[in-house]
Amino acid sequence: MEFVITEVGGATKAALTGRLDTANVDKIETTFSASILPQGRPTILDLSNVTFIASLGIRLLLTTARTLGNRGARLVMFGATPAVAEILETTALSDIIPIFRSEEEALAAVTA
Amino acid sequence: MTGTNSNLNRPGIALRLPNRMASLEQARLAVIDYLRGFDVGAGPINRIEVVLEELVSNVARHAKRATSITVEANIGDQGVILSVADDGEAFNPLDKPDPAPFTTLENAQLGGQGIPLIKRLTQQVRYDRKGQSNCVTAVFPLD
Repeated sequence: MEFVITEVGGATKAALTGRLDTANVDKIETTFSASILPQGRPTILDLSNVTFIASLGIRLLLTTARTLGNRGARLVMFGATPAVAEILETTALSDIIPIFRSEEEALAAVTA
Repeated sequence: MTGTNSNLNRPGIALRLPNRMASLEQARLAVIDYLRGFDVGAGPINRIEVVLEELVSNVARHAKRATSITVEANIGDQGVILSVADDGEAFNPLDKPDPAPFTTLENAQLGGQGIPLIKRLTQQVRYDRKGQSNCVTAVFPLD
């Protein structure tokens, strides 16, 4: 599991690659949070290379979005594969953290 | 031949693994390898992987007195039957009340999503105390 943080149009873009499973969330949680949260900027999460997500991954996304929200910044997701989208919808996480198809749509949503 | 008929009466797999988190990847690879030989779509395979992840990680994280985790997968006319058993103290994970549904980011409960996911991704799921083992059995349709 890897992630790359960049700045795009005034927002933080976090691109994750690999499986957001129990073992990987345990490994990346601290560094992932430390890479995104201090900036407190609107954030778009690129899930196009995430091949799997389970409940600990859901918790990581929820925690990140909530902490950013407390700092006045919004987090949205884009590019979820069918496997990941099904789990985000099944848990209803996508009801409270919107998913967009493209990076452009996601960026427009957080910087509007 | 397509559909479930071609999957009938194939021998399943059973793995007895030590109770530790590393067993999860071993079980996942074995189950995926087993399912690869059948007409199981990408959707069901993902659901099976998620449920396996939740069940095995629950045991590895919480069942401190369990020494082993036994994972079985079988394909039959009902679909894929996955079972995860441990030799820990009697505990029915399905008994835990589901957390409130997500409505707002501020109020969403952190954690506790694993068991609701299992219930929603399976056609049937049940818990049995079999001798000295906890056994959760889940059934998945093939499409």
